[in-house]
Amino acid sequence: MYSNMISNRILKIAIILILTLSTSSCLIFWTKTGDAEDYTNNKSILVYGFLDDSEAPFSFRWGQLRQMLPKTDEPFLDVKLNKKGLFYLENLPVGSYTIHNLGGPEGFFSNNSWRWTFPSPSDKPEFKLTELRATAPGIYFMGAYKIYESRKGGFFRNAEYSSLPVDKPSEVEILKQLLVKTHGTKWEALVLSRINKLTKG
Amino acid sequence: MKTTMKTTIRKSISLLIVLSMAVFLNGCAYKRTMDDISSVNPTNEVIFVGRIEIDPKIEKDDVKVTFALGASDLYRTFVMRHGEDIGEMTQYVGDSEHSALVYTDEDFYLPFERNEPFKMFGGYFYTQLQGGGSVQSSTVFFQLKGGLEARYPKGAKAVYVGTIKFKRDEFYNLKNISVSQDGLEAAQKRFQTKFKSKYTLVKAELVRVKPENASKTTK
Repeated sequence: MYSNMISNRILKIAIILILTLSTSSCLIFWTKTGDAEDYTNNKSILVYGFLDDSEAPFSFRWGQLRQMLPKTDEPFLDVKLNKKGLFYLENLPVGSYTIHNLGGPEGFFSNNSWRWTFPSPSDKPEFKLTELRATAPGIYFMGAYKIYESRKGGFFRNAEYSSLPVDKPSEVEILKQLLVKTHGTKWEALVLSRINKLTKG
Repeated sequence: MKTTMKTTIRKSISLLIVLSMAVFLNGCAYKRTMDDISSVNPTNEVIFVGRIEIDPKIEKDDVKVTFALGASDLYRTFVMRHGEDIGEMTQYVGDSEHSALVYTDEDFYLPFERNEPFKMFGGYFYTQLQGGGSVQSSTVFFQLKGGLEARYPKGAKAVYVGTIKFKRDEFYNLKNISVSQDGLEAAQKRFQTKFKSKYTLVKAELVRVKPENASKTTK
């Protein structure tokens, strides 16, 4: 009898919480930090990149790739990340991808969230790695980027932010972060091979 | 050219986009291709006829839309910038005075004031419009930098601009722009059939304005 009352009360609280959250328009998103899954087939690719959010107005917690080819009903693909800047996604079909956006919450006390879109390589060739045309199975680097404050904010205006490709951390350092996430999978060998190639080259 | 603007998803921006789209979709604000020739006053107005093509075509499945409000045609909707050059197009909504809503792969029939030069600057289309509490939209800009001016004889009632074809890659990068007026005869037949009109389409003299010569104005 007493336990029934408690479970009823918990249920009510849960319902109220769900209703409150669903009507408050606050964005709930669970950061995908899981490890890479093994090959689902040997015709797939893994893509990886890096975002330095140290000067960004948000903490990098989510992002999406857009699959351009082959065409699919669900082209927006949530990336996985490690909260240190690395983002990646494995077991994608060979094809064309673009970084759709990278983002995160503005802060603990803020209701704002960000989805950052990079300039198109057709306008700014330095962002060419944001568009990937993969023609064979393997692992592919989509670049390392930094978001920084390009104009200071003040009392009457908001700060402005810009992004640029960066070479720190290097691809090798990013691959070392990826190695942790791909440990024990067949991707690991490809990551090691790429590290070797870059360090010897 | 793809939009490069950084985006922060705030409620106010979401609301603005939704409101803009509502206006956009119900057609109150943007000039639209005409359905009835009797609404045109030939003394003061000239009808411009042409077509926008995107190659490869944007298929319905290419555009991700979750707004049900009349957005089923969004995949073939192209918002054409005309009249006033704003220079580099970035992310903007509104400015209905200089925007015309046309469907790709279909003739457009746009009446404009006579005596005013008719200039086209390309335009934009959506590849995504999704969301609930926050809106995510992706816009692609295909710009005719500097503009394409259509000149015509004084007495013309209907002017054939031609087909403006934007060649793209799978990332929606603009690769090439071509303009062809070969379809004049076929466009003439379609015009006369649609409007039961005897107007003769006059081929426009097209002048491509180089960006550096264009008067750059801001909105």
